[in-house]
Order: sequence, then structure tokens, then C-alpha cells
Amino acid sequence: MEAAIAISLKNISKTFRIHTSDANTIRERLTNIILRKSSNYKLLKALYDINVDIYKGESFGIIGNNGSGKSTLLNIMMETYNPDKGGILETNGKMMRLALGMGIDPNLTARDNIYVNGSIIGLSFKKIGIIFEHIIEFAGLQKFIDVQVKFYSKGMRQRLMFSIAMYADAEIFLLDEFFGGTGDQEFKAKSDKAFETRLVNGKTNIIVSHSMQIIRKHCKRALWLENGKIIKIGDAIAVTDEYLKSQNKSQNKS
Amino acid sequence: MSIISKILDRFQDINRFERIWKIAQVDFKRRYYNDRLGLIWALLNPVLTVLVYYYVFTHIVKRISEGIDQNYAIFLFSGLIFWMAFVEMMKKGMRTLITKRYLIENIKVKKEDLFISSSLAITFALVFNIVAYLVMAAFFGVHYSFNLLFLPILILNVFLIGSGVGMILSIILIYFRDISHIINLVVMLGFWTSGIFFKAELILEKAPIIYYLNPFVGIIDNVRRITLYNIEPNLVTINANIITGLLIFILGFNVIKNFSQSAMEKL
Repeated sequence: MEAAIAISLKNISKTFRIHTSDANTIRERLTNIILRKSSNYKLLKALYDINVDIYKGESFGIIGNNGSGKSTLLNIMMETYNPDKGGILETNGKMMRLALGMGIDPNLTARDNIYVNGSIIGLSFKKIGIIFEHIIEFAGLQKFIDVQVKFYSKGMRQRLMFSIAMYADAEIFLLDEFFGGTGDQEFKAKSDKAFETRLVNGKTNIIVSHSMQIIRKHCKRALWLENGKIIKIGDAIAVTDEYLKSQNKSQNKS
Repeated sequence: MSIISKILDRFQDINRFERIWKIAQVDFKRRYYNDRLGLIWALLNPVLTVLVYYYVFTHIVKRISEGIDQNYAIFLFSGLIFWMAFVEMMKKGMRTLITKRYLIENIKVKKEDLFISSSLAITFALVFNIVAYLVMAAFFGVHYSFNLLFLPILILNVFLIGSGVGMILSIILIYFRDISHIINLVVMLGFWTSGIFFKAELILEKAPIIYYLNPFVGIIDNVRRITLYNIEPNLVTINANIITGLLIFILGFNVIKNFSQSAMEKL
């Protein structure tokens, strides 16, 4: 039986135009036109022909060094960026990206953030009212509901985001270096447990991390990106092993 | 089948309305409740501005306020709150892709909604100012009639123009950073040519081009007709301005739909 596809990427490439002389102003553009200078830019190819299918209910890891194109890939999945022509992106389900310091407005209270996030993801106020207590309780923020998030600790923010995503019925989670930042043991146990139960419920997780432990713990399959190309894709343990080997090699060389 | 999908669409629209409302509410809160004086600022800003110009134009350059039978401070106030609301919608809108980036990159959100919300938040403040204005005008002996029912149309008109211009500029700003200098110039030009300080008839007489090009001449004139003079609004300018507003709004809407993704890459 073939599993349903949550995200499908076909021939996804991404080229950025990096302007060497930054012609971002009217004056510069005009002088460029008058002097017949072709505007100076370099093409930077961030992703080369990415083909991958991510199935519903699976946890999928993405690893790679800084600058390998992981963030660009996520931005394309989120449709923040357009892929180059010819690439086809298909997504099935409501997506939410979890990254530290994103998604919540520090000047708003937890209550407002929950309502804003919830309603953007497509929930009615009525539904948000019902899950509100659960979100607060899971995050352990009962005393801080009407406190501006800027007064929260990093861990508290992380807890808030995670529990919004959990209860807001997001079907696809993009976890962008989301774990490993906090040392809150109790919440870690909770979120680990949530992870396991969520897998049962058929949600999809895409985990970007530098921590091989996290990838191995949560993912069955993984993708290793380097310089915008897929080096290896497959069983998470095999991919992380190979990645670590190559890391050791390059360290030994230098 | 199609009926069911239509009903589902309708439900999604309800959610969309709720979402726009919520973001507007939150924007409004952010703007006015984080300060100790809160909403008072929304009122204090135009009041203080009015005081300055009132003093200048009734004590120093008296000629400008001559020929205006109504209280000149109230006259100024009525024009100023509408103009300031527009400028604020435009400036807030212009920066929406930047200020709302934290949402855009995390949850799939229709970017148009963010612009509508941000202008809606300013509309709340405008309504608040209008209420204050109506009370003040009544205090100075203005009588109201059913003509006041045209007021929502004028508010809508400012909303359409303000949010539309905001959407268009938000994209242009990313490609042409120095546009902000030009915008400041245009804002100043509009400030002096929208008939905030003098009657629309004067503009029609002395500079008819401005009268026909600047929708705010008509909007502010109509505001005064229905609130200060208590006469019927000029239906020609109301219609023309609403159409202008709709065109600007639709243009902005499409600009955001088509160009916001490539603009996000340059942020």
C-alpha cells in the first residue's frame, strides 16, 4: 500500500540574484540605464534539482552544514519563496514552521498570539476557545496568559509555540532547529511523548537539525544536503552515519 | 457536490473575516495599549497639530482662515483626521511585509489579509477620532442630520485608498529603497493640496487640476458638507472617489498577489 504524500518536491531548484552593486535605489537604476550598464548581479544557485516525496505521518530529517540550502528548502516548502521555473511543489495539509524567535510577536500576550496563530492556520474563534485551555496547560503557562511574550524566557516561548502547533491542528510541522535549545527536562519529556503520540495520529514532521541524536531519535528517513544538492537520502541512521564520517574526514584533513 | 463546496467556501470566508479582524485588533492593541496614555495618543496627535495650524492661520497668516464661517479649529480637525489616517495606513502598509515577517515565514497566510488588517486597525482609530470630532463640533453648535449616514462611505473610501497604496508601495519599497524620500515629498504635497486648510471651492477655482486629481479634496469636502455645513454631500465626487479607491485597492491586491513572493526574497 502506498502512503499518501504530504509534501512532494519535483525538480525544485532555486537561484538567487545577488546584486554585487546594490542597485536598490531609483538613482542607481537610472544611472545604470543611462550609462547602459547592465545591472551587476551574480547568480547564486542555492538548490539543484531537489526531488523528494515526504509521506503523511512520517518524520523526516534534513541535515547538512550551514549554507547547504536547508533554510531555502524550508522557505520553498512554506511558499515564502518561489522555486525556479519547472519545479513543482505540492503540499497536502496545513503547515506550521516552528523556529525559535519566529511565529510569535513578543509585544503581544500569549492569549493574543494563540488567537492570531490559530486563526491564520484556519481555526474558528470558537474552536480556539475550546483548545485554549489545553494549549496553556500543555505549555505550563497558566500564570502568564496575559503577560507579553517579551517577558517570557526562551524556554517558555518554545513551549508556547510547540503547544500552539500541537493543538492548532497543523498537519505538517517544519521544525527548524527547534529542539536542543532548552534544558527544561519536564517539557522535554512532555514533548517527546507528544511526538510519539502525534506520530500515531498521522501528522508529518520535517525536522531540520544539527543534532544527529535528535534526527536519529525521531526520524525514520533523512536527507543530507550539501551545497544545494542531495548527497544521500534514505534511512536516517545510515544517512547520519555517513554525514558524521564525512565530517570527521574533513576535520582530519584540516 | 458544488453546493457543499460552496458552503465550505463560505465557512472559510468566515474564518478569513475572523482572522483579519483578530490581526487588526491585535495591531490596534499594540499601537495604543502599550503606552501609558494609550488611545489618548490617537486623539492628541491631531489635536496638537490642529492647535499649531490654528494659531498660525488665525493669528499670523489670517488670510487663509478668512471666509470660513465655521470654527476654524473644527474645520481643520475634520480634514486633518482623515488625511492623517490615510498617511498612517500608507506608512504602516508599506512596512507590513517587514513587520509581519514573523507570521509570513511560519504559517501560510494570505498576505493581502495582513494589509487589510493593518489598515483596519487604523480605521478603528479614525472612527474614534471622528466620534471625538462630532462631539466637539456639536459643542460648537453644529447640528446633524441624516446626511451623517454618508460618513461610513467616506471612511471606507479612505480605507480603500490607504490600504491599496500601502500594498503597492510595500513592493516598490523593496526594489527602490530611496522611494521613501519621494513618498515624504508626496505626503507633504498632499497635505497642502487636499483642502485641509481651505475650502474645496477655492481649490476648484485656483487649481482645478488638483481638484480633479487628488481624491482627498473631494473626501474632505464631503466630510465637511455632512458634518459641518449639514448639507448633502457632493454625489459626483463621492462616486468618483469610491471608484478611484476601488481601482487602487484592486491594483494593490493584485500587486501583492503577484509580487510578494519575489519581494520576500529580497528582504
